[in-house]
Amino acid sequence: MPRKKHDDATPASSGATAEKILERAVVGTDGSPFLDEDILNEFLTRQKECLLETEKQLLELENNACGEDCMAGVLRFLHTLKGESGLLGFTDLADVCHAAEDMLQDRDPADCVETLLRLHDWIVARVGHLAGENDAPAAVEEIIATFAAVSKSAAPQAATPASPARPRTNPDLGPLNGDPEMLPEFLSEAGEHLEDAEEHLLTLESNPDDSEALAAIFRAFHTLKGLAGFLDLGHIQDFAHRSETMLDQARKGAIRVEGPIADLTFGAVDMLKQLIEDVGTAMTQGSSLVLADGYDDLLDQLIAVTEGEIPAATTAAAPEPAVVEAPAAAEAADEPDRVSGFIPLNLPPKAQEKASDEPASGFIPLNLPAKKAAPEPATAPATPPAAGTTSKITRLKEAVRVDADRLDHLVDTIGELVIAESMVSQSADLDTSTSPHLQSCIDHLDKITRDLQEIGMSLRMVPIRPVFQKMARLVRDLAAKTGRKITFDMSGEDTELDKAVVDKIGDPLVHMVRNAVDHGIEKTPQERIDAGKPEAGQVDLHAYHKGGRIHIEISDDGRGLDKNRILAKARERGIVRDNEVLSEREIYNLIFKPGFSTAEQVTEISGRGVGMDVVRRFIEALRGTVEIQSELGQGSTFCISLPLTLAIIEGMIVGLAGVNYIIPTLSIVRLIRPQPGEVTTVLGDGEMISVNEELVPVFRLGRLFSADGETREPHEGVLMIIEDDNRRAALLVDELVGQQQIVIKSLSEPVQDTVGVAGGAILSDGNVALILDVSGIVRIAQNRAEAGEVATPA
Amino acid sequence: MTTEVTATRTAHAGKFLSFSIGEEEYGLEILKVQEINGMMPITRVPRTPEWVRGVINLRGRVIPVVDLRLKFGLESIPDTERTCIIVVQLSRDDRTLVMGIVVDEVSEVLNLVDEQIEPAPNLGSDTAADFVIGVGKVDEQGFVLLLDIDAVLGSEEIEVVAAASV
Repeated sequence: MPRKKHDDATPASSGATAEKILERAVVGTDGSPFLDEDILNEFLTRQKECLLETEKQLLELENNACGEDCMAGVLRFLHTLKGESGLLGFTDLADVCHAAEDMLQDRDPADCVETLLRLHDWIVARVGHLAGENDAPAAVEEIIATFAAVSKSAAPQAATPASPARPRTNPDLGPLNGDPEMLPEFLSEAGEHLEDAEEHLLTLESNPDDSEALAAIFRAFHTLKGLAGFLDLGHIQDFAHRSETMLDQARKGAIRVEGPIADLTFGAVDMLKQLIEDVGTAMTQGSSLVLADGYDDLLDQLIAVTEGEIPAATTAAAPEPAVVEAPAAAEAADEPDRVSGFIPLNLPPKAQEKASDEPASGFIPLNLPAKKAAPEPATAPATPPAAGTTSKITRLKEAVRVDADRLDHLVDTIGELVIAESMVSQSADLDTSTSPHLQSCIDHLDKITRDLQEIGMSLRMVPIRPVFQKMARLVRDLAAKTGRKITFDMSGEDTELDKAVVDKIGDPLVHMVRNAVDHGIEKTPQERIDAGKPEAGQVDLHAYHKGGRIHIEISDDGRGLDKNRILAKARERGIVRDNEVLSEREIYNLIFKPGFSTAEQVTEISGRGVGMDVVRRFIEALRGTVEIQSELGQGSTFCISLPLTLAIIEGMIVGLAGVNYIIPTLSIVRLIRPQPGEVTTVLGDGEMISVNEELVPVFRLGRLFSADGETREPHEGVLMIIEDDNRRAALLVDELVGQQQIVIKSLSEPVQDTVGVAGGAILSDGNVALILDVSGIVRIAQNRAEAGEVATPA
Repeated sequence: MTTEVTATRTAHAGKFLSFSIGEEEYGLEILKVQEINGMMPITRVPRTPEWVRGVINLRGRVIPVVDLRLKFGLESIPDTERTCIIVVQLSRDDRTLVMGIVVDEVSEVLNLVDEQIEPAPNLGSDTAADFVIGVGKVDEQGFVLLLDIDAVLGSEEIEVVAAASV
């Protein structure tokens, strides 16, 4: 079953990938691994994802939010990272993971969270270092030393689940105990491992001395054993373990994988496939797990072979796989969805019925007396009718990892298609055509094009979850550092926005969360109790869609903003004149001024007055806005409003000397068609217009751009009042053409850094219009004014 | 305009796209050429040098277009139906940069062998000469000046543009 592992989205690393890496990595003469850049990149990308997930699990573990499942996830991560980094030659990573695993074996995981978080940070730093993003972290020994401190105080427990010496308990089947979120991942991964094992088994059969292939099969079984163990799938774990033990004999040279033993190994692979498929069925149908036919026989044979008994070619080993194989193949044919990696994709009810009504397939329906005939006696009492679990149906999703460039190219091409389509559908030639068929075809084309455009836009959308998770960690660390008690809640972490926005929203959020914790929440729990609030402060993060924009709210129930103090401080600093009256909103906005801080003392975390300035700049760069709501003593809420995507803006198309330009609607305050004489000349030097009793300088865009045909007087054109950085200016253009959504195209050399031009866009006529950069234009205008270039109007 | 640009490369045998600007024939390594388009609407970008003609819509991508005639310091002439935009791919800092160049007329694809290529003559301080990496001898047409298009549209130039536009 050829399946591109590269494209598989399962974030957890896998032995299959590791194996691939092993195959392709060439060890250099000096012993250091020579790595293919692709392999390294894939490794690093995946680890970054896994690290995020692990961090979340650690935090949940600390709050006892998930218990065993999270621990299993963490262990799984450590284990796979150990394997992969070992193969890639990053021995320090492998060592540290190994040490951590050791630590966790004889220790209550909840007590290790602090150490594990530190380990997590170290791995993040190390992975970042490998990716060339940051400096090398501290030496690995330092981290490992911290484990020792934890481990020693621990009460040793029984042997590890992975220990091969430990006798297996009988498989304990019943409703699925594993984390439903992890199961789909496990299924696809396990499927891959088995495919791989099968592939190598074929190689091995033709060449029994191929130790490379043998090792690969061994690894597949070993990984599967580990995965199954973490997910509480005892029977799979047991089976994989037995197979592994047998293969170990082969590895030691005691037996050769050929003839009946090869058959037996194939049988084992098929059995595992069957078992894993059963898990998938149980999950999607919410039913109980049952043992497949022949499980016991095969298990016994494996043990027998391990103990040195060579089965005759005619033993049950050979027919066994056939029994298991046949129905599996038949099913695969029936249900194409399940062919690859045994991932049932929302099985239709009919197929489900079929699967459960077919005893030969190894599914023993729970409610049938046949259950009693299940080969493993121990399973019978352990399979109660799982009424509670029937509703627990998890849907499986498949994802594909795609190069961002290819995605951009696709979106570009869709954009071009949209333009081409509108050229066709608005073509004048169509008016002369009387064919109703043609018209309906074009309508259909129009609809598909729009659908396609929507899909294209949604492709770049990713959930904001990773950023929120980072904040959860940040709050925890800050609370610990400052000795505050803080409860952190978040919602809407699945809200999707443009990947470019998600990548950039992290920095401002960090500043705002820091502020909420350090400035917002009262310094001591006592202070809160005195104020009649619960001891633990509350910091919340919410994301939601509203009005075609994404809103992110950071709220705390702390002290709130003190209007009077802000105003006093601003007056003291000369930002606000003494007699100036400001609205509440204006006062709050003062905290975004550079260097403005009301904090009495600068702490390690915040107070220098840089933070909020940074926040505003970042948010504005994302074409967003920040609003503050606050009640003194009750807390504050900062609401960030962001566009859904950076690629599209709402733009006003204006004409100037026959050329179209686009001005972002967001920066336009109002439009004026001035009366003759309303624009006045000041000191014979510049033009001004009075807007709401405020004098605003008038700049003629034509002059700034040295365009032809600038003979128009202000009253013949349109004045756009634009606002940038609280400064207003009026731009004179010839005419308004329209307003529409604009897909921004960046400009490349040699026109990329042109002042006053933010980018280009393709209009519906196929021509390129330039998007104006308002602050750049104001800058040009002021430079010209300073240089005395602005001539008096004719 | 910069005078520091010197062609550090020399032309090697291979295929060249030849085109004319004014009276002169120029050649461009065919591997650099992405496509050839007829004249299309060009949006002028304000506050850029005269030789930057502007930007065009190349199937959904906005790419800049440079007028080679103006770049070489020749008189501007009105576009004709033979005027073409050659879309070239330049390598810059590991990235591929796509740019259009406006030429008077595209002629043909020449297959030049080493014997037909001579090193660039020293033509003095003429702008165009700085970008010539060799001279191809073609029987009927005489000479073709082989251009280092990366140098013609090179980063040194772009700094000049950036400086000029502030």
